[in-house]
Amino acid sequence: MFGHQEQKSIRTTIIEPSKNWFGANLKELWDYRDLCWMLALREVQLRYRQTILGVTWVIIQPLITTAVFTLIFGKLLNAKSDNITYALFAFVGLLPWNVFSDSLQRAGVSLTRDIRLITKIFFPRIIIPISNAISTLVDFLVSFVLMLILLLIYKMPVSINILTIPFLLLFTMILSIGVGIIFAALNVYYRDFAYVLPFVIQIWMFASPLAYSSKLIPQSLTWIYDLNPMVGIINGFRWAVFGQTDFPLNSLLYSFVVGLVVFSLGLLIFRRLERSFADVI
Amino acid sequence: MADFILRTENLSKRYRILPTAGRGWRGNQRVLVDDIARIANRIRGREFTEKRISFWALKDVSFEAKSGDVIGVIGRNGAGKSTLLKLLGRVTEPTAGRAIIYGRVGSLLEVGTGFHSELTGRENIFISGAIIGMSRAEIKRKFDEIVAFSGVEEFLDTPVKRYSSGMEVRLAFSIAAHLQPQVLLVDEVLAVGDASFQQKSLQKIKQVSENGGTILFISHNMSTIASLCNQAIVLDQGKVVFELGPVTDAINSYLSGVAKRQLAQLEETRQEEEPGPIKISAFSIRGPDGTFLETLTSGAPMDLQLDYKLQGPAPIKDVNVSILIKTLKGEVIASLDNQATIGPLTLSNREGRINCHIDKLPLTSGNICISLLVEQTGRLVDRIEDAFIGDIDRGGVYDRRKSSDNRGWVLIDQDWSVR
Repeated sequence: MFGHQEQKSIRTTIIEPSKNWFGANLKELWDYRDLCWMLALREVQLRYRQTILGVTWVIIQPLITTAVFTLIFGKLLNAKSDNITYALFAFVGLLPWNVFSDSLQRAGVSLTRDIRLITKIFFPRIIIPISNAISTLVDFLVSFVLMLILLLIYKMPVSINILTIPFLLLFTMILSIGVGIIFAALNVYYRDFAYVLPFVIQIWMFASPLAYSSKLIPQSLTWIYDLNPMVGIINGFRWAVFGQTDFPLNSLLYSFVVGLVVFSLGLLIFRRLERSFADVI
Repeated sequence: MADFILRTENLSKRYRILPTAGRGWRGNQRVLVDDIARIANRIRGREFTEKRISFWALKDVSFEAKSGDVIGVIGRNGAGKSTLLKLLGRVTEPTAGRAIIYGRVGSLLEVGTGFHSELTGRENIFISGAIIGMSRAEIKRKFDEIVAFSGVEEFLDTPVKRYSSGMEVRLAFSIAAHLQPQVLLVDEVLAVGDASFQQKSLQKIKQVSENGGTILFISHNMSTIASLCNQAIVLDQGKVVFELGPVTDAINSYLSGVAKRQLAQLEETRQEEEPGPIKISAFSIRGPDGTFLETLTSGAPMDLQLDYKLQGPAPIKDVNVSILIKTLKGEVIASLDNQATIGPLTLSNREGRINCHIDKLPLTSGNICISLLVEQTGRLVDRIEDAFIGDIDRGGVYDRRKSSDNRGWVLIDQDWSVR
């Protein structure tokens, strides 16, 4: 049953109370990368199973949001959109925002949905929120293609800057996973966090230049407004797609640094709290 | 490589509970306050007097498993068996001590844990396999074998929610069995599937040890432990009470320990904190000649005797006693109740004995435990869990039964004829 090959790569596991704060979080994550992908895939497979419209929902959702934004903010409130067709302006803003908010929401409540796994089997727990977050990338891809089609319909030229989008997407994911794992870990202890999260996301949404241009913010308040790391990312996306504004270098750098800090903090908190997950969940 | 596969050194696990918390919102709030107080005090570097009661679910457990060992872990409910498996399976962290494992650990803790009911059998093989630690390539390599062993070929592309529970269990076991671990942790999973699949599973489990691995096996069933394991360890209240040794010695030690408990330690298993008007002071099972029975016999006569003491003045009326006969897993097989025969009892002495006579015990051989409940005017006044834990042996008037294995729990008087 044990081939010679498997004998050679015998692993030694030492089980003892953990002492360090950082631990082998990331290394274990790497060892279990297959599982991470498969769980992400599972999320995608499950999301629209037993629905009539199926994957069409991925297309419908951003279109409806864009339509609502266009109607209320674009037409009714006449929000400024940096001289770009409002619908496009809103749609492109929604791209990173949806990735951010979806993955934050999914990651944040993910652990408590998999109680049986956590209490029965060992694997790095951080895989659950991360794979949940990653699963939203599929929706992003579909929306991205949809955006290209919309650009074509509106006869907008596509900027060369669009090649930077993978990096911008990475920034978004780092930030949302960072916040997401904090919520996920805390929610294991106190379920209140699952109820707080939607409000956090909603407030965060209004504090981000989604429906309106960030130029709308009075000069005296921009220093507060720019504390939100999503401002840089969303403006970065619009720069990448339309190429009409200046490259928001400073605010993007800021977003990146904040993302890394939050992510590291998240890992730390997660590591500290995950020891007792199986006992308190 | 060392000469052992698995070694634990003073492995311990402490749980802390806040006894004053209670349930619901107030309880959660108190836990939160306690958490905050603890963190705040730690930050300020102050000593924090812990309000939580801590108890050791496992304390200083040390043993060494060598290649080929099949180790039974024996103990009552709450002895720490599952905690030990959880620690070794890394589901939860030890509080102190450590364990060293050479090689891969596989758990058959609860079959089907990694399954998602909306996904098909095929999809679940991949997910569940990855969860228990196989790489995608490995699963692909073993896929056909897993499917063949489980016998669900036809339903591979059907969502698992449409499976019968038997099919689901077979598929899950099959995945876990093909992990090919060096250390296999098994928790009472053999009670699943039909007899032939059980045989197949046992063989698969034995294969692990034949190939140089080691198995830790938790079961309440002494005969399964006796037939499958060559070594055993007995736990009681988190501590090792019988060091790893030959399986028959361990089982004997466990059963005799259980017999000693019956008389001496009723107090410990008493469930009611408030002293009621009636207290059970002893419980014993005696044969027709008045001798104590440590093991019961199918079909034999016996008397179940409860010694009682009244806390207040005699007499006390409207007393009902229930003797619950349960499997070691806690399922009630039968309940003996005075209401069923003579109606409510009146206890007219301050100390006395309540006797329940059974003419022929209609239970198959196996392990049972007995719990006692005493009610007065419909209110529970005393309750003792596991007042007796022991074996039922084959014998008595049902001994003519020659069928090779025990099926079910109950023996029924029967007359057969052919025309």
